[in-house]
Amino acid sequence: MSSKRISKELRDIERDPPTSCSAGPVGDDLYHWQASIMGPPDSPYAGGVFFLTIHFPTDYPFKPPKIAFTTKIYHPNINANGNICLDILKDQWSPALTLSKVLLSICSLLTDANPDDPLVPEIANIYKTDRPKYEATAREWTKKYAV
Amino acid sequence: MTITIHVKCAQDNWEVPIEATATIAELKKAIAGVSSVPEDAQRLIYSGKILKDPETIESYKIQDGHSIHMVKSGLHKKSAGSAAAPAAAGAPAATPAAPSMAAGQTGGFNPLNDLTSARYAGYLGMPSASTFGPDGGINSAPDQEELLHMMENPVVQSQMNEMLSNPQMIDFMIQSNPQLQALGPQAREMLQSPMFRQMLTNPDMIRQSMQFANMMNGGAPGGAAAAPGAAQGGFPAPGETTEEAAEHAAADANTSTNTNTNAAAANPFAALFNPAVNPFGAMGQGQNAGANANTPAFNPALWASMLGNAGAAPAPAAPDNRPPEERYETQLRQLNDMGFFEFDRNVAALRRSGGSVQGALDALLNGDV
Amino acid sequence: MGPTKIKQKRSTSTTNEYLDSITTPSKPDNSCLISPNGKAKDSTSLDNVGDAQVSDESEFEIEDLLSSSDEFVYDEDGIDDDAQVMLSHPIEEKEQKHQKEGNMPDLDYTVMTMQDIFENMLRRVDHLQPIFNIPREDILLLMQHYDWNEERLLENWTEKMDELLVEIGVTQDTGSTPHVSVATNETTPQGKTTESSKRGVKFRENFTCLICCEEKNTETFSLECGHEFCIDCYRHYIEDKLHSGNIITCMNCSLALKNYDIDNVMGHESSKKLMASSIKSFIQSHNKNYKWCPYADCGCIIHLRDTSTLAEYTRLHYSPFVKCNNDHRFCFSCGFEVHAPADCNVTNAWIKKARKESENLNWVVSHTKECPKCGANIEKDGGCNHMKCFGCKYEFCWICDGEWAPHGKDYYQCVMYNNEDNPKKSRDANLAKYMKKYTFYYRIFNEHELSAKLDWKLGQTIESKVRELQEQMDISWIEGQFLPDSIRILNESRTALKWSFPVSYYSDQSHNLTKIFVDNQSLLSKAVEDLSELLQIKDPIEIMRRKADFYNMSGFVENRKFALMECGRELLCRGICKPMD
Repeated sequence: MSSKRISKELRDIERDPPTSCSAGPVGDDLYHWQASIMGPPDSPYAGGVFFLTIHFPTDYPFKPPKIAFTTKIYHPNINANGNICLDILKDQWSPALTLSKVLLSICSLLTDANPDDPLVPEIANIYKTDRPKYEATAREWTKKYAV
Repeated sequence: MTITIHVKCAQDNWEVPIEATATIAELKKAIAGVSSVPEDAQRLIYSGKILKDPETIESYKIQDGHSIHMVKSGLHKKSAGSAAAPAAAGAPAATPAAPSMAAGQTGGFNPLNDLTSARYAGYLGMPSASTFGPDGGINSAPDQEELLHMMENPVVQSQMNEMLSNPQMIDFMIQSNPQLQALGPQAREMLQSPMFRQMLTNPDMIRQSMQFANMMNGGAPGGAAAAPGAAQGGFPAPGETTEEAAEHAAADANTSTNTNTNAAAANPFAALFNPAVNPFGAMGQGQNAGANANTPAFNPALWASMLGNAGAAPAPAAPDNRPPEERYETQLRQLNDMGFFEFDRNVAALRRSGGSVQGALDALLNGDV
Repeated sequence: MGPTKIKQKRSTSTTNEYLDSITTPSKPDNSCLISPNGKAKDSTSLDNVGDAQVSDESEFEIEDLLSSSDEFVYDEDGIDDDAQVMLSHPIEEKEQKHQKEGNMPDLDYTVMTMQDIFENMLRRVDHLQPIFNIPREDILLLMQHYDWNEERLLENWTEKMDELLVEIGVTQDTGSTPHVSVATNETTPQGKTTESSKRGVKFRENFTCLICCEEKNTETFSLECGHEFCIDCYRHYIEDKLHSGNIITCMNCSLALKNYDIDNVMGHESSKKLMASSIKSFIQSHNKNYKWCPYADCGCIIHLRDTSTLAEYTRLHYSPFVKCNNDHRFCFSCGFEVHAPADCNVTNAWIKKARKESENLNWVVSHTKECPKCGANIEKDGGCNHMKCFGCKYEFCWICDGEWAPHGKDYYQCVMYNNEDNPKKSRDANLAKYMKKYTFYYRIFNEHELSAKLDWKLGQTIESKVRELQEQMDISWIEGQFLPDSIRILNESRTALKWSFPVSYYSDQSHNLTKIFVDNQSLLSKAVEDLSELLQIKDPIEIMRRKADFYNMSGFVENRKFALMECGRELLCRGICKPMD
């Protein structure tokens, strides 16, 4: 049952992909996708391309997909393993959400981080106290790893 | 079978008809045609994957009417290791980035080894860190006038001379600059020639070429990109170097490298500048990707990078801007032992002397700090 | 309600769990009349009645107690005046005094079940209904949202009524966008529709549900928001969410599902499940005041209103023991069984250590032992530690393998940890090299635990014994009560004795008070063994003949138990006993 839903999402994404996001199955396995997010132009991640892996659970869409960054990124809500701290991926998940919406949420998370609920407290601290430094480091990392 | 692919790039959208059996490289060419984004700067993404040149479109299962994303990328043909401008080491008193140049270089030769030596202890009028602006000169290259002024300083000139006569230095320069490498043994010859040295150290020459450079690209420190473009003529290539230039021009006329080396030969600084320009290439990417003028100007930026402040470049090493207590730990301890307890004075003196205790002592005793 | 519940139904013994053996319906202890030193006891002594239950369930009234108390007066070592004093005072007062733990205030707690709590909540909702003036289900949602905290709800209600309703999803938030734009069929130009027609389960043909992306003839469900999805998807979704205890919202927006919606969709009483999980999570988050009864299959919840007294308890090294409706007694702080004289720290440290060392000590815990003389395998089947080998008739002490004769007089040798090398203890020589002391104490601890288990088993049979007595000897029920009482005292004392060993393990051995404590231990041990032996008597006639002994022994054991507990508490208070490791 979930495969029908995932196939439909795949068709929708292929036909009308959101700007700055791209996603698709890695191989033949419908439940394992990879995605790429282009750094939003109004963020220090501009110009970078960030890759993510996506695993759909068997009872999707009743359970949220597991999404993680594979490209290193300097962000208060994303840790070194690529795990993302985003509410809709956990308790605020709804079966009516689609992957493209989730990817767009992640894009907006890149533009507007959420330092009050950080996954990496050190970066959140710098974000709150010394914004230019945060942006500079983010740019640096983007250049290093995502370009 | 021809299919139409939608290409999305930031705000733009193009439609590109192409054969399904074509390769990605060809697709890039087609895209370059409609979008005027050069192929080398294109990164194509579909289904969350980067499309690689040798593969075909159908191998990625791209179908008619599907959309792919495009991202403009910076120049990445140059190696990351060329961040260290292997050019004349200026004579700065304080260069926090000095040791970092060691990284990314081949072999143990560090052209900037001398920078922090005590050689310049006590010298006044040396360009200090402030010459190059608050960030060490990466983003704001020193004024051309200032640079000239610096060049007129006989100490600097002698330094340049020394450097160029150091075969190791020349080797290093050649190694880090692929264009010079391409030149082959002639590069070495050229660099070692006294004419060349003269050019570099003669302030008049420098002034002349600067003027030309200004003419060429309006003084923008965007520098040369590795783009194919106009050849350089017009530079008063001094003496024998002109002949070499002509030779080179004849030899490999087709590659962009050639034009660069051509220009390089014509303007010996070019060879030095190209690596110097690298950091700026990356910077300039956002503004003017790929379409920069091909003028290797006598770039004041060169000096900045020579002084090792090419931190903006994709240099793997981090600049040594640890706090002074750490950097000069041993020296400070020695100074303390000798009875100089004022930390601020000690640090200032050490900075002036480039980390040398002897020089710092001189400065302290002379009451300079 | 304090710890004493005068009206108390006696329940029959429930499970075979050893811990169940220490059941204590509340009845003031007879032995509170028999205190040689007249000290106030801690409340662990209260509510003591034997675990073995009589077949008929009777309810105690105070009058019964008053009348029965007359029978059980007896002297202890000639200290008459105390007993006289106690007799002259009304029992009730005495009860009150003895219920206090020394100078501790009563532990004020109530016992509830999940059902009780839920009914309580419903009553609160009814109470709030006229205030809020919204349907009951909505109030339920509000309460859920605020974790059943009425004050906060009232506060916020008065401030921002409408916002609140939108926030929890009772009314639709016209501003918010749903996750998926679902084309709704019946929309008027303003987007509002008749609620009644939209909300609920409908049957549709060829319906494409956006969640599962299947097209079929199916029932669908939607709220007034109009977001319609097939019933299977909704069922799956609700099933997952029932365990969380949070408000369930529409899949596409934040409109809340009310309890009747949930029942509608799921087809049976699932909303109760949701309420149960909600209450469970509430209890979880308030687990300072609410504790589940740790006994198996017992769904009681102890609610302690005022936790400030707990600090006092810890300071004085008392433990807050509570009792649930099923007569299970346990410690409120640590959730273990009643562990006087040890306090919660000692208990925790001991149990942690036991878990660590369990592999090493497995052999120590073996139930069988070889007779020290002839090597025949012996299995212990009674609580008494006085063993007699069938084969060679050798009498020895189970605990130390030594000859029984010296034990007849006192247990001193047995309970006291001997620092010198004892050739008799060759069995644990290897292990003892590393963990001599711990091994010793752990063995004793375990032995007493096992003995207690066996005694409890014995206690199970006590009922039939009493009945036997009644029939054969023609005595009234109340007359036969001394047996269950004795069993109860025996069990409690064994537990106290058992837990006194961790205390002595962690105590400074050189201190004088420790020596006194150990003395107490040995006295109590002897007393307990004697009592246990008494209870082994099978012949009813013999039992009745020795009734007086039963009373005497029980009383004595109880006294010694109190003394030991007080002494243990003293050790803890003075810091001589320190649970380290």
